[in-house]
Amino acid sequence: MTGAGSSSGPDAELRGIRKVYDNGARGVEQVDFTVAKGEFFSMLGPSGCGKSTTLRILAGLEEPTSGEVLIRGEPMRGRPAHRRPTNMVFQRLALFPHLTVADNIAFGPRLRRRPARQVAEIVGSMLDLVDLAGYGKRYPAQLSGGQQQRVAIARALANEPAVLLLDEPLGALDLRLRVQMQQALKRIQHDSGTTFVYVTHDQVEALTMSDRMAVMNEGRIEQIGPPAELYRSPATTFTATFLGDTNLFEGTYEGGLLESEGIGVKVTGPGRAVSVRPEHVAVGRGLTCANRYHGRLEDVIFQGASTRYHVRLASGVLVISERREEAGSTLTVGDEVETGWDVDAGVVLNH
Amino acid sequence: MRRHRTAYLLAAPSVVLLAGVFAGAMLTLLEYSFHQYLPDGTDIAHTTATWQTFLTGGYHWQIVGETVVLGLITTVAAAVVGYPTAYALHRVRQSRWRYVGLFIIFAPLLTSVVSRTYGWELILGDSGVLNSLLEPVGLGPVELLYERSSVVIALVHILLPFMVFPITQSLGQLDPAFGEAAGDLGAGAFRRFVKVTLPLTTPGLIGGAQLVFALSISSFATPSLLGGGRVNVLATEIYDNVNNVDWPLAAVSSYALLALAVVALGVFGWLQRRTGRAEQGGVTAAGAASSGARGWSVWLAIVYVYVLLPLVIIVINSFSSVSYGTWPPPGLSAKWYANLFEQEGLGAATLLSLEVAIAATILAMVIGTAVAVSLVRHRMPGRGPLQSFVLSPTVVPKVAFGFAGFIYLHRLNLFGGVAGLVVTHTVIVLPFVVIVVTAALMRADATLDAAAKDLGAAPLRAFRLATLPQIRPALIAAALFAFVVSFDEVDMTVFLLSPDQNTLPVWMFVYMQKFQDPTLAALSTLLIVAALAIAATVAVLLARSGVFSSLTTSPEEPVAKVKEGSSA
Repeated sequence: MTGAGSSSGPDAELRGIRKVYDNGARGVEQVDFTVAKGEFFSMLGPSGCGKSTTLRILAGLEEPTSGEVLIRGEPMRGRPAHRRPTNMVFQRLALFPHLTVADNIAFGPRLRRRPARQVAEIVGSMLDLVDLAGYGKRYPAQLSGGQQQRVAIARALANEPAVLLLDEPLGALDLRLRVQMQQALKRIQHDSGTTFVYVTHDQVEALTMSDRMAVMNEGRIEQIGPPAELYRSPATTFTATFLGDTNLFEGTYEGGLLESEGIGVKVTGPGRAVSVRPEHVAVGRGLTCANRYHGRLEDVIFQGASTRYHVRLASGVLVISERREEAGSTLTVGDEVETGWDVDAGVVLNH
Repeated sequence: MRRHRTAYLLAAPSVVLLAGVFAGAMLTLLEYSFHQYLPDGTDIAHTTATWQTFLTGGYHWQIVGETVVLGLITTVAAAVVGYPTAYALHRVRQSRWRYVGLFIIFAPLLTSVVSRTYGWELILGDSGVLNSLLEPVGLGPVELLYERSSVVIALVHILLPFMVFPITQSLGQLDPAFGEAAGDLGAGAFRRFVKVTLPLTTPGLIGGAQLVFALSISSFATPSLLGGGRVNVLATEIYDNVNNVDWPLAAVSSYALLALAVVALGVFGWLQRRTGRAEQGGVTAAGAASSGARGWSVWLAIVYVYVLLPLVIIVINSFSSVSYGTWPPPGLSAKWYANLFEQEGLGAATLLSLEVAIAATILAMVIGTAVAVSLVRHRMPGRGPLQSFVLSPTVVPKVAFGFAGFIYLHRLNLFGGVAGLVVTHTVIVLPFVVIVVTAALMRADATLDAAAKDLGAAPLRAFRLATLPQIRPALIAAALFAFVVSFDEVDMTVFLLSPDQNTLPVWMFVYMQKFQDPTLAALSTLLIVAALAIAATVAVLLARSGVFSSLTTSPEEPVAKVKEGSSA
């Protein structure tokens, strides 16, 4: 699906977006990013971080206090939602309860005065796309949660938007259905070739589906990049702790050593903190890694494919280790153990 | 400002109407209260003499006292009848019978106040239904008519729905788990009621009391017709002052009545805040699961008889062969129906009532819905004051506003036309429309509107396609309510008609002042039949739109669900 406009530039671009509410509530402090054509881009952050507001600004449902939105290179300032080449899948779906599935999907094309035959074609192909062929005559209330979800996506895609905006669309589904829908979404995105901007507070969702993602906090973007990059090399303490679990040691740096809560951690360079993922932390006896500490094994949590160890150091600091191998199987709660990691495993953070 | 332009534009028509008609009239009235008419007819302006006369004269304080006493007795009586009725209705297990019960309680609202008052005259009269029952057993005759008691009996009947409705609401919000918890903790049925149900429904009771008190102190037609000149309250006093051409005194009395209404509002509001426990989380209990004891059914039956009796008596009396309201009618005839159609000016009065009611309903629906959207969907500065302003006509007694409108329309040279009637009626019905539509909009999902806009619908179209279908039942209800209120309006309209004009209820009011014959019964019967036909039509329409099924389906009952297919 190729739309109008330049084919080389990004599909969506946000420049210096700020949103201040009258009542003083925080909206968005400063947001800049671009989304390439056909990209699956996610905004991830805790509730109230401004991700949904940013999405609504993209949709034109809210005007930014300052800053600019460009869709396919075209400035959107002053253009209301109904005249933007974006469409949205709402958190609460917002399917029209008084219209059938087919009429819900036909809503946009009809407003655009497409001839009846073309509308029928669009509805048919959309139902096929979301695997709901034959469900056109049903009402939304007669569908299951996952089916309603797919109708909402079909309805938003029926307008052939330049960018599809998704506001936590899977939030209401149970875990099993959510995983199924994640796969379905990826497939739909691939098949339709549409650019997706996806908002979620669920890091697994963002990590598994996105081509690139932005981690947001308190109205600002903490970091943007591919999921693996953000996970492996977080730039801020927020990203490090929000994405996955980590052992975070904050302190002062001096001569290759970060002094934190009574222990010294050898690090690769100067910084305010160091983050060590549990899977990089060893536990046992006679360790050889550069950072080694004595402690008492406080808890062993079997998780199936891996096992977690909570080691309490003499200084009181809790270190978490996650191991895949069976080596630790001889360890039991209360044992005096060693725990440690290589210098390279620690990611030094300055913010 | 530009951001809030839509919000202010939507509110503008209502604000213009209320400022131009309502506030204008009330200010003119205030100015008039600082006039004084001397016995020789001279009009002195800028004087507090009339206020001084009112405030220092013992007679006027007596009237204020009588107004308060009448209001209090009516309120207490309505609470004593209304609370057990609401409670009994709440305990009716089958939702169908609960709705039938509610319909019976509310049905009299669809008939004219004059009709209902007339029904009570037939029952309480010297040779009426009550005395025909009491006399044979040696208890009569009792003289109830033209005393305060008859006014109270009729007012309780007329205002009962306003007491029952808020209590039913708060009983409906009561989570049965509270009662169960109390029972589990060892409380018996009575203690459970006193310790749990009653305190938690007190806000509803106070809300009902507030409505009944406000409406009873400002009621005019009933004390005027059933009091026979012996029940003197502020409302009748205003009417008498106007008839005696002492407009400044009428203006002062109007403001005294308004002050009383405002004080009552403050007192009830204070009571509400004192007793109101933390808002109950929106759990709506699907009717009480407790068994419906026989005692409650008997109570409900008695209340149904009380509520329906005047209407039934009217219908029977309309076929009476004699011209006086004696019971039982000595013979049957249809001559009062024939007489009805010979009445001069009745056709014109009906036509004017219809014209005014339809115009006021349409006007109030359009501007009222617009301001409701502004209040619910926008967060503009001045929203609170706007809401208070739009609802302010409910505080002002209709007699006071009627007299204010009388002076004001004269000044504007609009008196005697249809336009003046339409705008004043619109002022009266606008708050009802705003309240009903606001409530519906708050329940409606605003995301659907956003979705429609997102899919390419311009704002007005998005509203029509996404929001309107959601609030349609409320709009129908609001329009019906507005129509009925305007069509039956007497208290205000008596002041606003020129000698050559008449509306149907005012025609009935004047007729009842002069004559006692069953012509009025014949007319009331026709109106009752028409009202029932309209109510039935609306009920069918609403039922088709699925409102009732959504009301009767309890949250636990799942809506038809289709199993998730293998295709996900």
